[in-house]
Amino acid sequence: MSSDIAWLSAAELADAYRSRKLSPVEVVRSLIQRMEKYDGIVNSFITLDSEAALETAKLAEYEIFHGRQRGNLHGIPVGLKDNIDVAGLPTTCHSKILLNNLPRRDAHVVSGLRAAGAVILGKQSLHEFAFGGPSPELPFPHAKHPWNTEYHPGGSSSGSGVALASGFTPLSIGTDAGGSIRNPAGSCGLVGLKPTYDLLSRRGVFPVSPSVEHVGPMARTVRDIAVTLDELIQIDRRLPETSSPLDLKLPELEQGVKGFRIGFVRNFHEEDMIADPQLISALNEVARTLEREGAIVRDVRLPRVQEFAAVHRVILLSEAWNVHAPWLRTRPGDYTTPTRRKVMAGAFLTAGNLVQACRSRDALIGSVDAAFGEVDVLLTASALDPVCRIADQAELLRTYARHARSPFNLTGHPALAMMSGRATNGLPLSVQFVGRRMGEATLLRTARAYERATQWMSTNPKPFNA
Amino acid sequence: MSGLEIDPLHWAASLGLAEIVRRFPDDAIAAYRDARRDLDDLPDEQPPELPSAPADQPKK
Repeated sequence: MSSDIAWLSAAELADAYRSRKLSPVEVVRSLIQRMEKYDGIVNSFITLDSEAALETAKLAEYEIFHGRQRGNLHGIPVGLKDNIDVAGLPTTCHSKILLNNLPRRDAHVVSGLRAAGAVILGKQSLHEFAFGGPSPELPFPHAKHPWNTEYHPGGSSSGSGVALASGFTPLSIGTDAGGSIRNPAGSCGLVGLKPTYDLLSRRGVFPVSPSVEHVGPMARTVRDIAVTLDELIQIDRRLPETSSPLDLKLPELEQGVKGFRIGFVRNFHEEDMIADPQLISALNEVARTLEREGAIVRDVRLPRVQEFAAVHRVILLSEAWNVHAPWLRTRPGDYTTPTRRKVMAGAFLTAGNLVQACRSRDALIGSVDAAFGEVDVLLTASALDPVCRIADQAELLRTYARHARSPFNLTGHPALAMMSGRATNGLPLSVQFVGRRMGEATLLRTARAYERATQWMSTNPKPFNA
Repeated sequence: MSGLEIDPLHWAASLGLAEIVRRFPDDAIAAYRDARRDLDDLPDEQPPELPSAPADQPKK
């Protein structure tokens, strides 16, 4: 039973609690035992808070079994990227700089999860400050791909993706300033959503670059992404300062894409940065699948992906320099080499460069908004290359900047990445769907229609199961 | 420093990054080159036109 529990979705667990086929304590205990046995192989968690998780699970069990189920996340285990504050647990950002950082307050998203009755399992590994990459200089070992530990699981929410793909948790919360939710989601055969900018509060999240950074859910199914976002929005709606007008229309999630107008952005991966042929082929097949499901797919042209990327990086690096300058001056040796180099680039950007980038950003937002005048959802590449080997530094560096995710950090449109096939190395290929701002309902419905039509993720390997 | 229009180490030192300049000069140079590459790719958005100054100031 324990291996079955590992692969149940959050929605399936909530149903099992309602029918008393499973209890939150049984589930949490089973997942903790699984992590204690196997996480040393893939390094997905930095801090596992077993004791508190079991206490929360006991309370959830009592409430649910006494007819007081709070909602779809009650008693559901969730892991958090270790740049999200949980009162009393270290927020290290996977860096020597913050080894002694002990927050006193929960991040806003953590308060929401607690109000929904979710069980916080602990803090997950990441790229240092959501910036760097795998490095032997890190204070904790970097995460590894659970399908094949020689491969990179994507980042920067690496541990969040690895934990899901290892059957350690049905839900993770990550952050995404340049693709950090969508990259590991696509690389590990999962679903990751960067919601509309500011839809989920960043309070209590260590900042990378506040104007392009987003908090969002990662899961193994589209439904779990929808349910998690819905629960967090519902809780926020009770607070006047965070009231959201968004309605995810969950009852319509299964209603398909018939008549939806899908804009296929080919220029990103066919002209601007030519993608690996396996990805091009997979993206074409995504378009054909959606057409078979009744969507109307047409080509849409956006500005060159390099323009988005340059504007994004000038803003991101300027803001990151502002955060890190004091430590770069006093503790530069406590950063890993990749992070030190990336963060320091912001020192060489001027106020004039930032103003120019912000002006360009407005124009790029206008171009994406104009595209949404003609279509309901955009279909684009996420990664432009298959998942690479983690020890291959040259390939890591080459592929690091080759993706089509940062355009939508810049514009604030919601963007979801998910699996679109398998490469010849056996690891997942990915696709990205993008919605109008606050258009998550249509975006999730499209992703669900694709998930249902392809069944890619239901055939994924189940690591550590004999 | 041939091929670079300015000395990134001098620039870094002027920003208080003397320890990086001393211990990790290669990182400073790599970071400078990364920043220049991003600026080279930045779209050439023109600033909004400023209103021209009136030819004659109204008399008070």
